[in-house]
Amino acid sequence: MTDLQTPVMTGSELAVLTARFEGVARKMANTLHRTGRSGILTIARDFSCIVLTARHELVTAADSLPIHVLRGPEVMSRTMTENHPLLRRGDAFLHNSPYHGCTHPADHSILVPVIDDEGAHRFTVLAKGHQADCGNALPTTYMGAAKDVYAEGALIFPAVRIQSNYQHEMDIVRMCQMRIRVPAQWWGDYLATLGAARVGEREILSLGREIGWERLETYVREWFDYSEKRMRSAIRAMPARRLTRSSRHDPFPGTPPEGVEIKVTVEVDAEAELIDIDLTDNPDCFENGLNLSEACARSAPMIGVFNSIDPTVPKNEGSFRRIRVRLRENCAVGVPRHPTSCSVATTNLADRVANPVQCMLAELSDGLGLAEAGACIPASSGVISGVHDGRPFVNEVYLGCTGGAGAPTTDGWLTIMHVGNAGMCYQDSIEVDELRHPILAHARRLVPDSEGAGRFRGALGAYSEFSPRDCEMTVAYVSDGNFNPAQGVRGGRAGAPSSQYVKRRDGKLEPTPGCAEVLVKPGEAMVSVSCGGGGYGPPEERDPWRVAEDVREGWVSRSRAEAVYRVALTDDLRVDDEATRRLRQGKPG
Amino acid sequence: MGYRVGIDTGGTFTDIVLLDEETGEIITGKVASTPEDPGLAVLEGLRALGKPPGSIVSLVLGTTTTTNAAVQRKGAAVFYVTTGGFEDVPHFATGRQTRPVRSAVGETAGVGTPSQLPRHCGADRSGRSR
Repeated sequence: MTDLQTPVMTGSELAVLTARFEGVARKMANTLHRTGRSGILTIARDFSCIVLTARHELVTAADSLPIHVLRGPEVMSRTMTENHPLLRRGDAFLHNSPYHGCTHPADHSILVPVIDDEGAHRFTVLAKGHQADCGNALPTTYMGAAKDVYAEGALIFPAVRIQSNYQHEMDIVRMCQMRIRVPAQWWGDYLATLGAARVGEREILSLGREIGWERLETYVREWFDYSEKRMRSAIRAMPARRLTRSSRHDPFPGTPPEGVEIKVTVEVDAEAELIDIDLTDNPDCFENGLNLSEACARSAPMIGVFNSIDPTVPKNEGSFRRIRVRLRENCAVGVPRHPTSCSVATTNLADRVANPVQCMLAELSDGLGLAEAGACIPASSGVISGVHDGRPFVNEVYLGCTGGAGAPTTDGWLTIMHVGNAGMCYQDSIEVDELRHPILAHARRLVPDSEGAGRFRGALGAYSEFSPRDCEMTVAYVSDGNFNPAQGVRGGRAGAPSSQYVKRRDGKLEPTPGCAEVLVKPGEAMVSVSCGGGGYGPPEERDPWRVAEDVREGWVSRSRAEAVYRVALTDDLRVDDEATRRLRQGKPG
Repeated sequence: MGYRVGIDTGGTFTDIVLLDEETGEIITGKVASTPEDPGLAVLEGLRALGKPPGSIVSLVLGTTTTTNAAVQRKGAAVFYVTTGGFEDVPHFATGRQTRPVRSAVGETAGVGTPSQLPRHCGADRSGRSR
């Protein structure tokens, strides 16, 4: 096909090319998912694949984790071009530097510039995968207590060339193999990530030859303009208002004893069709791993915005033009200075930024926003490690983490994992985990009455219990939400908090700290309870039929149905209309 | 040391692969699936390998049969029996979501299917074997 000469693309052309680019990202994702080696990539799917323009603009992020990709890739791409002004086809760059646009050091990313047949840089593809291990000082990719990046210990790669002319720079590979635990596992995951990026490169080269590079350039401009227009329209429909709201992270090593209060101010300027988010009035960076990278500090509030509006508004450079995020240097939720540790940047404090944004938008108008999603990372989603039968093992498992927030028209997404994840990660198969690692799972179930009650309720929390088989096992986790559960909005209630214990051989449950590396011995078990999600709207406005269904299914107790939802049930667990009416009118049943 | 066998039963063919752990030899086979009783094709494929059952140390079966039934809603009424503690696993798989929810990027996560298995149709039996 030759370039078409029409000055403006039709809607159909825009739709088709959008699907083509999304198809590229999905092919990349499929490659990574099918060819990775560690469970965190091949089972839990903790990775993202995106396409950027050569000017570092996000084109598509289909099937990606929002905290991985909304913002940051543009800085990573710029770092690549600044560090390597002469890009050639066949180059690939390894990037995990939180000081240069990456989320946190555990997210090894491969950037490949797509160079056309004339040598011009047209697009960049980026594949990012959370590593089972990244060479930290402790066997975990979440070093919550690390004083700085030196205490973390991971090798940092600020867009380092790892392939030239499609050949590995083996020096870099050997450095990784000498630092990262279970190096064969890392090598497999690295090849999968590189393969995903190469598939993206191949597909875009093919697309450019078919459609024409100039035509693709036109498409990108028009797609961005269309996306910005959709975003303008979404903002214009919101009430104009300026709100401030806080969300508090639990006390961790290196934080004040009362934890960390994160304050977010959102101003919806409906006339200017702009959302302004200010994160500057927050504490300086801590001497621990909770600090956000710039990528996460910019992405987290945008997650709160996109979670709150029409989901069909495209997420790309065009719609991003209508969101302004104000950050401060050396702020825990701002721009960190080297050597600040950002080991846990993707989850804990990031969620404490995203959650209040979506809650504030909910407070603007019934029908907008979401309640708070449950905090993470519970022990059930921690990094397990040890030595079994003479062989080391390390991996992050996803045994049971829920926490979806109540929404204006539906209950909380059960397996959202956390707000920055958007439910993109899969929960592990118990059987596959037990085949891959020396563990035995004793339970994975939901906890009744742990939902944040509401007109639409939050997701229930999850209970998980697992043991090592014939060896000791370290479980490293950073479980927020022990003291500060997910809040409800518009009269919705909070979800239940998280907790964690070691179950000793005699069955006794011993509580363990929220941020810890816990040694579990043979015959013992790690017990993890994840947060419930917050509720949306008053629980006494919940459709009684839904309450009865929850009671019949065992999610909610009959007594809670009556006390919190004000719904009376008959002995066969049907709604007692008359008694419910009396209850809801505040009259004695 | 022995043989490791993997079987994939689809709607049309049942594929089988055998690995001799000692020699590294790999034998593959393919037989027509038997949708009316999928086990028949599995047994036929195993017999065709010509190895004594006792020499097979590991056998992993993957099948799209149940996925197809779920997608096509052709499944029979089911009752889920499991070991204690795992009664909610089907709900983790589906999220019990019936409407689109808002999500920042994950469009595919935005829409779920309701669990085909009401929770009251589950039962647990205590105790796991090691």
